Amino acid sequence: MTGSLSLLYAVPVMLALGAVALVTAGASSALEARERGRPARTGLAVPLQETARLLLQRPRRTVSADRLLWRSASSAVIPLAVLIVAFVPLGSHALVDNPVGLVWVNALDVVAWGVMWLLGWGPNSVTGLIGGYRFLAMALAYELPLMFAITAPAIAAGSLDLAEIASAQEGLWFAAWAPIAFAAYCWGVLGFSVRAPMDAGAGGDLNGGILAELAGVDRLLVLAGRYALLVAGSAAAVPLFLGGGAGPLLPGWCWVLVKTLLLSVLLTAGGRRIPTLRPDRLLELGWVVVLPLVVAQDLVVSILAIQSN
Amino acid sequence: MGLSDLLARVAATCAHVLVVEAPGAFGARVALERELDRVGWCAAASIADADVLAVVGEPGPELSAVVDHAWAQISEPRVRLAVGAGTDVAAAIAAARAELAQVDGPRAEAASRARFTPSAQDEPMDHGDMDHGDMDHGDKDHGSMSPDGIPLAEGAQDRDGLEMDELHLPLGPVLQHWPAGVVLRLRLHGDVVAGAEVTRLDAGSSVPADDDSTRAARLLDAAASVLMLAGLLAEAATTRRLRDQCLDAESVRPAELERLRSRLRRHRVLRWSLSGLAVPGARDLDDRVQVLIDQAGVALAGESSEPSLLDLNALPDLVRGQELAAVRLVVAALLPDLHTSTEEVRA
Repeated sequence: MTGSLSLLYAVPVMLALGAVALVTAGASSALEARERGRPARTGLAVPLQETARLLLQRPRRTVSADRLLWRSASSAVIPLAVLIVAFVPLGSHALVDNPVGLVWVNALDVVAWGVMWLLGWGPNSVTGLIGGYRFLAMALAYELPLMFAITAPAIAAGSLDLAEIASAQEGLWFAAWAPIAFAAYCWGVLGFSVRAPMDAGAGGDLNGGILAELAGVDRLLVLAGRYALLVAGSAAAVPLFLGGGAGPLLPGWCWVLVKTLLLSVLLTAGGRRIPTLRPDRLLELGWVVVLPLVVAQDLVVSILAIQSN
Repeated sequence: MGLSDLLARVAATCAHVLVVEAPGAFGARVALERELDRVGWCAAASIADADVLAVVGEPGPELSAVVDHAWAQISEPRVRLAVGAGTDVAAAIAAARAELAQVDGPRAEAASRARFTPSAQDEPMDHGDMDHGDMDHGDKDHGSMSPDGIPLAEGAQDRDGLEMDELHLPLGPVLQHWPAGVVLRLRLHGDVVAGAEVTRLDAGSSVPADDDSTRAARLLDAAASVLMLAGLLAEAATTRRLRDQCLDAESVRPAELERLRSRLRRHRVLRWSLSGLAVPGARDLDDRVQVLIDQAGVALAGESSEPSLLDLNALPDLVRGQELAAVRLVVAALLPDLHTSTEEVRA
């Protein structure tokens, strides 16, 4: 339908991804500062301070670590987010415009399984390994509902092209008439970015689980990558559920940015209010409650789509 | 030079502190945590995450050996602190911050340390830190099957009769929300505890009894620990503030405790998450948190609440068959009532 943007645009898109991730992290730290009795504004700078700290900190190895897989995993988190964002249409164009963009986004969130597991496996540490187990248990719970959730906008728009899905929402956003699918999608985003309340794999009770042995730049890449994944997931939600670049006054790309930022901050702030969900309880919830609900949602969307044709 | 100077100064504003509490140093630990909150530093999640090692109280020889082992694994730039009952915590933190902010200070040390991955043979026998990266150092007599000095995991049948690798994980004493000076050595199938052994480091050291306000603070501290481990940071921060008020001899109004209790009671997800975890002396863990806050109120009212002591030796039986997450939560909830005795037990 539309052509891809020139590669020159990759630079501003990456910068925007970084900026939104920084603001989201800043908002999370501001909330934390306020809870701990400090002014919220002191929290806004924390992501930059942490970056400086981790840049100076010496990276760390463990005995008999699987260094190749461990380092590959820690360096893969940010590229994963970048590859998702590249397929998200910014207004009428995406960096890569592809007729099956939706499948691509789904495929990458499955790659996150491998990356997070290897982060736990790599350092040859018990806590990391258990963090990896926990992530996989959570992933089993959220992944199927997530896949069925993104089916809903595809059915409604009759296309796997993210730009076409976005433009099919003139009038009413899919978030409004497929709210269960939208909620399940957000749950999945928190899951593959390992953020609260889906962060048992990186839980404080496990010394940080998959993060436990990371120090210095390696840790920075993973921590920043988790925020980047959250932002990428939110960015993909914009064409899928939030009407894409549609909005008054501002140009399309601007609306995509604003919606992405709002959803990222809301997911982070909302997630903090919920205790870490225990993986053993989650599988039951995911498969017995959420999955049938999402499938029923798909059914409703299908019937409506057939009727409107 | 200008840039790294700037980075070092910015980095020192948010250092992460690994807190090691020696038995009997509860008050000093709380003072340290409050100062961290005040200056915007935070507690380190693991040894790898730490910039500062803060030893609170006076560790005996066994705990000291473990602390040295943990220190050996901390990345530069790093600073080591000792905090006692009489220490001016604010001054100590300020000094540590100044040291971290120096470009030629702690980071120059990096050059002199060629490598800091301790091999398995370097370990003191009684180490108990959680993450030094080696698995399964159970028996040391599997020479040929020990890459880098670490024996390979051995198989064992798990609770469903499946063959699983058996991993060994010591919990404590370098661990947050954990009884000071206690090591619980777990044998794990996946993240399920197959067996445990408990040791008290430096057995025989005596700890003074608590007065009423310290007792109340200890109870609220345990409630805050459970909330933190459960991932409810805002509620945990509120609970900690009430704990601090107890120690400041400020009057904590019973209404405030009641408000906290009802806020937690209304939290459906928390109750769903904590219910069903068995804790002695309460219906389940959810109930136990309410009991902790209740008892704090009783202690503050000056009505002598006789702590219902639970022997440390009962821990191995308590944790067997539980998941690691449950073990951490249950032990944190039992903290104020753990009676630490000297002999070792196996289960």
